[in-house]
Amino acid sequence: MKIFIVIILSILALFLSLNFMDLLSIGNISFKPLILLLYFITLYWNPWFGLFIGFFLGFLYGIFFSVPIGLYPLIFTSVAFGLYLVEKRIYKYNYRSLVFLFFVTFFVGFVQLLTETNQVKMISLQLFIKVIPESILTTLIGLAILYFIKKSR
Amino acid sequence: MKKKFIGTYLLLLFFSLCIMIIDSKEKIYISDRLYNFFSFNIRDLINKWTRSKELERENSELLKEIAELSYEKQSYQTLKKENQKLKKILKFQTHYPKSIIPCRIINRLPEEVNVSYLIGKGASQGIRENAPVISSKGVFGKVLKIGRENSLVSTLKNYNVALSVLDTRSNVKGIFRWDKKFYLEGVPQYADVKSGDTIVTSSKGSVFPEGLPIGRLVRVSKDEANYSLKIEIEPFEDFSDVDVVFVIKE
Repeated sequence: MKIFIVIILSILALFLSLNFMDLLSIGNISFKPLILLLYFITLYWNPWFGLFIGFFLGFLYGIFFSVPIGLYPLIFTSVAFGLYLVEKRIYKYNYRSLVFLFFVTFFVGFVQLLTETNQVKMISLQLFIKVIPESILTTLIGLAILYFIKKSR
Repeated sequence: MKKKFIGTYLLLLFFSLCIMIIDSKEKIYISDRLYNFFSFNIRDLINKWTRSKELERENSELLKEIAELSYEKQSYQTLKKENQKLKKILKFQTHYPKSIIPCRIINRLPEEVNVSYLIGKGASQGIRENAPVISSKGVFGKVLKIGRENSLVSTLKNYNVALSVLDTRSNVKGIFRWDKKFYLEGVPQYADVKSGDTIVTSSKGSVFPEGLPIGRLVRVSKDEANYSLKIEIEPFEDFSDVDVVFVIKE
């Protein structure tokens, strides 16, 4: 049952990223539903799901966004693995744990930026006008999700 | 557990690297196909749905506009027709020298189609009984009864209304009368009449002044029983589409 829910959520997150991000974005800043899903599944549900979902979502992400295939499975599985490593060392129901979500989003955004452009000036500019605001936005949405998770406990 | 997890992670990492290497050496075209299928199909579906809603609204607005325009067109055509009629009447009125009274038809009497009409003028406007009534096309009928403010006019489609007429080409005289069709009676068999001849009122009649157009001769045949010709006439006026007629005063 759990696996079906995870698959449905993954498909939803992927469709959201593919088709509706321009509707949900504020200017050119949008949140990252795939990272949110990966973060919460790995940290709050089952790290194994996180690992496999990270791999498949990364693979599909590569296909749909015409980015180097293989790069995103690598990043997403690494993210899942990293979250698995810190899971035991933090109190994940504390809002401060969301700092990891910020770093994860920032890391993925930064790698994405590196694959898109090779000009240093552009990278530093995009970092401030896109990657950091997007990380903050994703963290804020994560905050809302964590609030509901805490309430439902 | 931890070792298993690390092992799986390393395996997936290895797969990812393999895919990356394959992708960098050779383009995986399946990716484009999958992308097009999922992404564009869904986008198209959404676009079509929103567009269909938009089209539906646009369609209802256009239908409303069409209805309004067709109503406007209809009223424009009516006005145009009325304008043409009025122009004709005006032209006729200036052309006709006699003293005439223009009268609007206010009612059609239902007993028989196009036989009797009620006009909006009567004795107080100087209309007298049996006064000839003409339209812009020719002879229309005569006044049957008069009231103070309106009168009853009988058209030529009445057996009791007979006119003395003549053929303008050959001056052959006869009696014009309605008998389910319009006929010219009392014309001898040797008379010079041809289809297409114009028939006008003659000076022999007591009601109608001379020279008023009536109609055109359409068919000539021999009436063996009466040793005369049976001549069918088509009147210029069709008695069905008349709004204004003129009563001749003198």
